[in-house]
Formats: sequence, C-alpha cells, structure tokens
Amino acid sequence: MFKNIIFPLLRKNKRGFFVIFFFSIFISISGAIQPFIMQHIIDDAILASNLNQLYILVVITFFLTIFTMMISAINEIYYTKNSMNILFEFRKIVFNKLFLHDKTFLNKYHSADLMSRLQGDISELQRFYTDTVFSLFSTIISLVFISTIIYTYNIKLMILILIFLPIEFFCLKPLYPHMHNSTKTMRESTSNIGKFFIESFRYLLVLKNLGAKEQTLEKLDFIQDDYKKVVIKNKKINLIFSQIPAFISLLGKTIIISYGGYLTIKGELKVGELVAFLTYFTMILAPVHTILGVVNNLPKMKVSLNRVLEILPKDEKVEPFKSSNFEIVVKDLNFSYANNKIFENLNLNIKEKSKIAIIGKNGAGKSTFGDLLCGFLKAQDGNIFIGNEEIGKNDFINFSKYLVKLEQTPIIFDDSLRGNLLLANDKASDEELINSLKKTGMFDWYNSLENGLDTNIFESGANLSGGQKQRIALSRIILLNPKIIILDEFTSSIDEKDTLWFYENISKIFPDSTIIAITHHLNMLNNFDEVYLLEDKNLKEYKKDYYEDIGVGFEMPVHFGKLTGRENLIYFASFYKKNIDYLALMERVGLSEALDQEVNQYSKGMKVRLNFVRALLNDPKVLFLDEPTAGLDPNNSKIIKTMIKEFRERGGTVIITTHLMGDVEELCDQVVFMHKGIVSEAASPRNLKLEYGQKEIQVEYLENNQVVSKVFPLDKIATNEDFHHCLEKDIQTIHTGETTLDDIFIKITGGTVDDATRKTH
Amino acid sequence: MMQLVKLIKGEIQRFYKYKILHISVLVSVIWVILIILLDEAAITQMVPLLILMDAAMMSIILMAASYFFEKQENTIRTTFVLPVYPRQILLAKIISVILLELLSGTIILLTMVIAYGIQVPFLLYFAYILLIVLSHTAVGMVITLRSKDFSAMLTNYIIFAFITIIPTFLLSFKVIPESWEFVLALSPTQGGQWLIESLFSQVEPIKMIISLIYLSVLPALLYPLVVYPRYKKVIMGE
Repeated sequence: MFKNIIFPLLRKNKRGFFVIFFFSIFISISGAIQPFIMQHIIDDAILASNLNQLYILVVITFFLTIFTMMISAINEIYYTKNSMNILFEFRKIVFNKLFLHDKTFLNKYHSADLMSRLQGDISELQRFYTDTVFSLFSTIISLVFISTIIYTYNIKLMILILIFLPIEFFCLKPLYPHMHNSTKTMRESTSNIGKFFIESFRYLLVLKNLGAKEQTLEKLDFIQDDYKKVVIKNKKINLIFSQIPAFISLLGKTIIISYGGYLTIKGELKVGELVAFLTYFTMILAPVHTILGVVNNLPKMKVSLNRVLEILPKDEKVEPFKSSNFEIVVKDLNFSYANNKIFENLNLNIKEKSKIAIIGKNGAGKSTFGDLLCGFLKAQDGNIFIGNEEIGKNDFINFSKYLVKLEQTPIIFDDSLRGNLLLANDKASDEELINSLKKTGMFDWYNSLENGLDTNIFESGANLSGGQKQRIALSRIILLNPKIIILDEFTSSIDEKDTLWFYENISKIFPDSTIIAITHHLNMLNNFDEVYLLEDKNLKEYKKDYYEDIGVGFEMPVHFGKLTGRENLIYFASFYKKNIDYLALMERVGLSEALDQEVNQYSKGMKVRLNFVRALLNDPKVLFLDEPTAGLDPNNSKIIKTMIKEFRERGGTVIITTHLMGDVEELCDQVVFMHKGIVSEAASPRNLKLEYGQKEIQVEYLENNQVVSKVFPLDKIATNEDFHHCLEKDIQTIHTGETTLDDIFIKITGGTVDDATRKTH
Repeated sequence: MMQLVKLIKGEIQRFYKYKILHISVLVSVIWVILIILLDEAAITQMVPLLILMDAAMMSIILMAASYFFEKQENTIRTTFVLPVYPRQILLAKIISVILLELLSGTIILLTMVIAYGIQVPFLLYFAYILLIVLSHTAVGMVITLRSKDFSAMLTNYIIFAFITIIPTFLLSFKVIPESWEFVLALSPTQGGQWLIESLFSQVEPIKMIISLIYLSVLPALLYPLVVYPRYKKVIMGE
C-alpha cells in the first residue's frame, strides 16, 4: 500500500512537505535557542548587573518568539492543507478501487462497516504516514539539537536524560498487544453503532409498523453498553500508556533537579545553566513523548492498515470494452454460493437485439444470473462472453454504455432531477434529459415541477409513486442507450397499471437493445421473443404455451351458452396438445346425460361442474379453482372434492379460492387468509388451530336432576382436581371444544367477515 | 397458426349458433331482392351503395356482436387462459368478420352477374371489400371498446353513422352538394364509396389514390396503436 498509494501521494505533495519541514526545523531551533538566551539573561545580564545586555537579550527573545509564532501559524495552515489533500486523495483512491469489487464483497461488508473503514481507518493511516512520521523527523532533529546543547552544559546529565528513553520504551512494550486488540474492538464497536443507525433509519416505519420500537431501543442500549465497555477499556489502556511516561519523567526530573542542584551548590554549574538545563529537560520530554506516541500509534495503524487492505480488490485490471457485436454466449457456467450449487453447466446464446424473459421460482437463481451477466458476480467455472469480451474476468471502462441493469427498487439520489439523470450521461443536454422523460411518460409530471430540472426530487420523492421513480430510473437508461439491458424484477415495487406500461413499452423504447427481463409476471411474457425457465440449476427454453400446464376453473359460468356442453368442451380442448377424455370426466361429474344440451339450459350447479371439467381438459399440472363447490348439492360437492383430492394425489398443485372453510379443512395443506387485500395469516389448518384454537373440554353432568355444564382448559387437565371431581358425577356428555377455521378467520380479521375480501387457498 | 385457425373456426361456429350468420345471410338476401327489384337504370347507382352499406355498416355490427357476446358470457376469460395470444383472439374476430362479409359480397356479386350480367373485376371487388371491412371494423372496435355494453355501443355507432356513413349516402343521392365531396373524404365510408363506384364507373384518379391510401393506413394505424392495446387492457382487466 505504501509503495502504490502513499508514496505517490507524498511525492505528489513533496513541495508542501519540504516547506513544512523547513519551517518545523526553524521552529524547533528557535525553541531550543530560547533557554540558551535565558541562561545568558540570568548569568551574564541579571547576576552580572549588565543592564545593556539585559535589554538586548530581552528584545531578541521577544522578536524571536513573535517570529516563531508567525512561522508556526503559517506552518499550521500549510500543514492542515497538505494533510487534507493527502487524506482526501487517499480516500478517493481507495473508494475508486471499491468499484472493482463484485456483489459478494457488498454482501460481505455492511455499508456502515465500509464507511467506518473509509473514514476512520483511512484517517488513521493518513495521520500515521504523513503527520506522525513527519513529526518524528522534526522531533529527532530537535532531540539531536537539544542533546548537543545539553552536552555543552554537562555530559553526565545528558547521559542521565537519554537513559530514560529506553526505560520508557520497555515499560510500554508489554502493553502493545492490548492496545492493538482494544483499538480493533473499538473500531468494530463504532462500526456496529453505524450499522444499527443506518438500518434503523432505513426501516424506521417498518419497525414502527411491527411495534418493535421497544425492542429496537433495547438493541440500541445493548450496542451502546457494549461500546461504552470497549471505550472504557481503551481509555484505561491509554491512561496507562500516558501515565507511565509521565511517571518516568517525574522520576527523571526529581533526580536531575537533585543532582543539578548539588552541582550548582558545589559551584560546578551556574544558576542560569541549571535553569536552562531544567527547561531543556522539559523540552526534551516532548520529543521523547512524540517518539513514544509514534510507537503507541503503531498498533492502531496496523489495525487500520489491515482493515483497509481487507477491502481493497486483489485484481485491479481494467480494460476498454472492444467488442463490436453484442451477442451473449454463456458456456458451461457453474456457480455456487458456498455449498449451494445454483448453476450447473449452463449454456445459453442470446442474439443481439433480442428480447428475452427469464422466469423461475424464488431462489432459483434468476437475479444471480443477471448479476453474472453484469459481472457483479464471478462464476467459479465456465465463461460468459459478450461478443469477443469475457465478462467477470476483468472490469471494463465505461461498461455501462454497453450493459445496464435496472434494479428492483428504483434508486433516487439526494439531488435535483437533472443531477439524477446526468448520473447516466453527464454530457446530455437539457433537451435530451426532457426527451428521456417524455419517452417514459413523465413529461406531464416534469411540466408540473416548479423548478423544472432543478427540482430536488429526493426531497419531493415522497410524492413520487414507485412507478414514477422507476420511470425516472428508466429515463437514466435511455440517456445511456446501452446495447444490453437487464431488468431484474423491475416492476416488483410498482402498481399493476405501471407494470403493464413498462412491459408493453420497454421493447419500443429500446428497439436496438438486447433486453433480458427477470420476471414473475407470467401474463407479460407475450411481450418477449423468447422465454427461459430457470429450473434444476439450468435454463430451459420455456414454451410460450405455458397455459398448456394450467387449468382454471372460474366461479361464474364461462361457456358459450348457445353451444352444447360437448361443443364447448371440444372447442376448448382443441387448443391443447394434451387432452383428457372429456366424456369420462363428464360422466364422473354426472353430466354425461347433458352433453348435447345447450349450456344455457344447464342449472347453476351443472355449469359449475362443467367449469370444473373444462379446467381439467388439458390434464394440467396446476389447477386454479374459484369457489369450486359453490352452488353444488352435497353429492356433487363430494364428487368434485374427491376429484380434487385425486388430482393432488397425482402430483398436481391446486390453488383454491373459497369462503367455505369446510372445503379448506378437507382439501388444503396451506391456508392464506386475506383481509382487505393483505395477507393476515398463512399456515397449515392444523397449525392455525394449534395457534388460535381453544383448547378446552366441556363436561355436562346431572346434579339435583339438572344438567350442569363446566368447561376446563385442556392444559394440565391430568392434574386438574375440579375436572377429576366432575368425573365422579353422573356424566351426560364430555367433548372437546373444537375451533373452526371460521372462528379463526373472524379472530384474525378482528371479527369483520368480509366475504368479498376473504380468500382462502 | 393452427391456434388461429381454431379460433376462426370457433368464431364462425358461434356466428352460426348465435344466428349471426343467418342474419348476415338474410341481410344479403334482402340486398339480392332489392337488386332484383331495382330498375335497370338505377342499378349502377344503387348497387355500389348496397355493397358499401353491407361491408361498412354490417362489419361493425358483426365485430361488436362477436365481442359483446363473448364479454356477456364471460367466455373472454376462458379464452384468455387458453394457450393463445390476445392478438390471435383479436385477429380471429377480424378474419371471421371479413369472411362473412366476403360471403355477403359474393352473394351480391353473383346476383349482379346472374340477373343483369354486370361484370366487375372480381379480385378488385374483393380487395376493395376487404379494405372497407378492415377500416370500418378498426373504427368499429374503437367504438366498441369504449362502450360499456352492446346498447351503449349501438348509440355510439348511430352517432358515428350520422357523421360518416349517412353523409356519404346523402352525397350519392345528391342531397349534399358535390362541393362537400372532399370534406367527406375524412370519412372512411366515402373512401369506400369511391372504391366501389370505380368498379362500375369512372372515378377520378385523385379520389382513388386518397381512398386507397386512407383505407390502408387507417387500419394499419388503428389496429396496432389503438385497438390492440385497448383490447388487451380490457381483456386483462376481465
């Protein structure tokens, strides 16, 4: 690091350092001369009653001090400016290198931790490499100069003073490891506080909504207590570090005054010389302490150095992107997170300007694939090429001109609308910025802004919907006009209307770009040329006729009334590649007799059954049923439920929307209660009953020819004496109080049963 | 492609089952009777109007009927979960209406040939009918998709007819002065009138050029830019 970063910085600022160095030497010499003049004032002017010399020496001292003060002030300003230059450039270099990292790095380090390293640790390093080392030089010069002067007074006293230096050093040496550990812990603890506040500020409303305020405050107390302990421990070690030299200095001073006084009394030393000597001794302590401070800072610097080195990228190769074609070729790609294999020998070719969609279950690796294409992640094995360039091996200059990813959550920076847009292309004119807004349908909104492009949209961001924010993010991409655009669940935070707009317009806005959309919106796949399904660690071409695999049973009649049941079924079945024998299905649901009747003549129950048969026509893998037994008599209801169970047993997935809790208990593994559009609860019926159910036993017995009823909690029933006492009576009935899903629903939704919003799957 | 053919077959089957085909043929029969009863001198003036009336007015009604029957019976939902694209569903409707109109056109053509021995260039005749049907169904679909139900659609359709179709007829009967002819060129019906008229008599080349461009460009713009997005939105909303 010193060779690659610090030394070039020092060299760049060498002029400043030479000036500071020169001034510092002057200040040190000026300081060292003053006790010497003082000695002459006492011995040669005051004690010798030489008034003329006294005035001359006092005037010299006065002006020398003034001059030194002025030089010190100039030096201080110069020094601060120089230090700041180095600090800022140092931080900028490290920050610039962070752009070379991939996503694993950002997943590993919390932003507060990175912030602490970039602020605290880099400052520490800068202080050490420039300020401390530099002051060490001037200190050594002062030390040599003062030692020479003291030597001229008395060699024995000079040796005595110099002995204290190694004594202090060896006394402090055992404390170095403690100092190192304590500093490291303190940095981590500071970073923890940062992490806590960054997260809490971001999710303040979520925490409020969850009612987790108290918990959060407790966590803050815990973190602060931890920090307090660490700070106090550090303070103690620092105190020992500072008190040991102070004690040794005191000891030295006592010995020197005693010995110096003895020499003066004996006449071997003049009074002025003793005074000067004592002043020099005090002065020599400062350089000694500076040297010790440097030594003291060594462990801190080592911690900071390691923390900064840890975040620097190992490989810093950046090359221009040279390829002129933009076909994407993925060859034998393998990627794992620890032991979790995500892709295995994945191969894919994406032609230039094609529009493709990638679908798959949560956790299948869709976003990971997007990150690999962007070079945010590096594959363990295999290659990704864009034209002739391999992605993930090196970083490319201006790669965003070729490939850009539109993230799930639109990012609006704390800046004006212009500033937010210019991030993508700082050379874009106002006209281009406005055009990009027009293309994303934001022109009317732009016209409504009082300050136009200079409006701070972060401050007014609260008024922007998710869709509008994403449109601004898309405007940025329009300004870049990249060759490849990756859309990673880019409509997940926006409403249905905006989602529709995005999917319908994205290809029109970027007709000459390759678009790769990672999506869950199966109903939007028609907007793409090709669709790939991420499954079993690989991408498979997903045929657009995915409706082949789903069956939908609507609640309301959805058949051509003037056509017979048979004609309806033949018509709908003709669209599927795979068909089930509809005659057998119709017989099963008791409609074989009505096959050739017009559907208009069917009763409601018959239409519901016909809907069910229609949903099964293509032997689907997933069956969506809306109120499948509504309007059916118990017999027919039983038939439909039996068929649903059989479908499940064959490995099919059934999603039922119903208000009949009996059906839910009988047919479903999982229940989702929805209330006012929000999922209130999701669990298995059994777990719901365990969680919300009343666990009690009701006993009815005869007493004085009257039926008495008592309810006992099921908990600890074996030891419940009242219950055992009841059992000795003339028992009429004993039964458990079973809670139904209806009760649970009412409980969950606060007793407001709203059929329109109640959906149970 | 096969899915589209199946959808078209389904549309035609429903036209038959819902008696729309019968009505269409019945209307053609009325035209046939009218043609037979017409004075020979009035044939060249009236027949183009009958052909136009059938192609322009009936096609809109057929298209709207097909759409609203499906909407009323909720089968639009069922169709949407089939392995077909929304554009195929719309295309099947347009093609089935064109087929019905071509059938109607064939009946009228045969009547003219058999009863009066009037010869017209067949290919041009069907091509012009195709253009008239395409342009009118495009406008008709815009009206249909903006109407809540069939009766609301009929109200809008009558307003549209008063503004565009009726003036063309009035112009033909010289109720409206000829100087208004080029103003009426804004109406696709007037363009259709010039095209059909050209089969029977001389029409100025400028009128032919205007008609051909207008009736080709109008559906080419309306279908992809207005009708299809709106149709997709409406059926997705279902």
